[in-house]
Amino acid sequence: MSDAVVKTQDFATPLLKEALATMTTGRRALLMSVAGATRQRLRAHFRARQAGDSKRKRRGWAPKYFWSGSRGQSVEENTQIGTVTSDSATVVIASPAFAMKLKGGTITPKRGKFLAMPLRAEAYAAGSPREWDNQTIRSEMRLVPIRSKSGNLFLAQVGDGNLRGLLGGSGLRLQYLLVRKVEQKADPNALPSEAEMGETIDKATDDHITRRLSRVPKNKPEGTK
Amino acid sequence: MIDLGTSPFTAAVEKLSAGTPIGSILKTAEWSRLPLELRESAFFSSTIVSSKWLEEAQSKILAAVSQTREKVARGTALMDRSVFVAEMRALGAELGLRPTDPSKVDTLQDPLSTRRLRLVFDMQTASATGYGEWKMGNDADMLDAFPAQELVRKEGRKAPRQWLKRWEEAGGKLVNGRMVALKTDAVWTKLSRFGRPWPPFDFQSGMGLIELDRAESEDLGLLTADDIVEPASAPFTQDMQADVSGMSPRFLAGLKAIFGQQVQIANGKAVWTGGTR
Repeated sequence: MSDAVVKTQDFATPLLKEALATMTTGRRALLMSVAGATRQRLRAHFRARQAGDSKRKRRGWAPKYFWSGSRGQSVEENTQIGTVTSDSATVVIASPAFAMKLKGGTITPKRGKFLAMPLRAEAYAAGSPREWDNQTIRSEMRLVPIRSKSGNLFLAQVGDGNLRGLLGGSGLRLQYLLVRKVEQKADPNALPSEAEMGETIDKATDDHITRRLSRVPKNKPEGTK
Repeated sequence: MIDLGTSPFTAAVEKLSAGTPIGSILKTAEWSRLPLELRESAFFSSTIVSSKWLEEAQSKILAAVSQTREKVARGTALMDRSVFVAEMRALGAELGLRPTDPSKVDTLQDPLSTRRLRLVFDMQTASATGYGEWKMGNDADMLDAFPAQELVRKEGRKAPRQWLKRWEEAGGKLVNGRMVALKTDAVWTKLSRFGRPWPPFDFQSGMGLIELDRAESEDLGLLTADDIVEPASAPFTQDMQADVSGMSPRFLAGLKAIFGQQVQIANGKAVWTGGTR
């Protein structure tokens, strides 16, 4: 198992703290409501990121559903409620790729010598070059490393002059640029703003308490001192 | 107090860890004839006989979901789908899992094709995440605050299935044209090709769920302010037994050996009894 929870931020608002301080019972239910609302707000943000503008969209490349999808690997699907007790709640975003977006940093190759940056839609769609099945694809579709005059290293498909198809008979199709490292900048919009999160938490606190009070006799507020 | 963390999703890890790898020549349609509890307790892939391959596949997907780092050439690295595809293809080639029929190579019937390997990874991770969310969604406090959910399209498809029709056939009601229901409604299980109340509801469907809070659920008429939604006690209420009369005695004996007292096989029926092995 990886490390324990990497704490990113505490979103508790004064209203929530005050509400918890006055309650002797029902604290877990309140925190669950608030955690649920926090998760819902985060997920809406991630769906909006998926639908919004991106470098990939401007290039016309097919989506990989990084922010929101249905394959169990998107940031939205991995935004879940961790543990909830009567004192605290944890909302978990179980995505190492998201953590990198949030904080930024240097990405270096771990399994090979290079990182492969896709240059074309088909390379982006195919994913990593290690997914290309060189045993079953036609020879002109296979990836071979080549070095440009300026010293850049690529993975490319090479036509031999007698082939028809994707390469138009002959030529070179650069699919990936190979690099030693990538500097990823922190994405300032990876999460909703603190103000938005605060509003969400205050509204969830308010809604929960209103709902609870509406279910008990008026002069016997449940769980209050 | 309300912490945001980036640790693994524990319930999804539990779901994946619980599966027992079972090699079998059974196809997807044949697996679907076995009791649901048995299928949910097994880690399998259509027509894959090699337990070694399945154990390795399960281990890698588990590593991805649990964010376990493994030692690699230059330090440690996380498992992801592209590594899974490459390494499971290499292992499958060693074990001779490529189809001998050339027309099947690089199709979904080829266990080593990129499409098939991605499908295995995607289905397992989606199912584990879906289960984890279902489990948390059934917490009494959670169910009170977020009692309903909506089926929505999350990923585009060239030829999408007719989900509105399927929703109505499963007994779902459309509210303002939306496919919404309480989390505990039977429609979710009936909607699923796999008989489970959590997504994915079909192979590569592109569909997913959005949770609805109490206020919206009440506005949509799914419940009233005074209603208390009772959590589901178990994920499955059906398919505890299945007709296995056409299956080979060897395969059934294998199931018995793996699941022990959890499954009773007699008179052409397999009955899931649960408990311990």
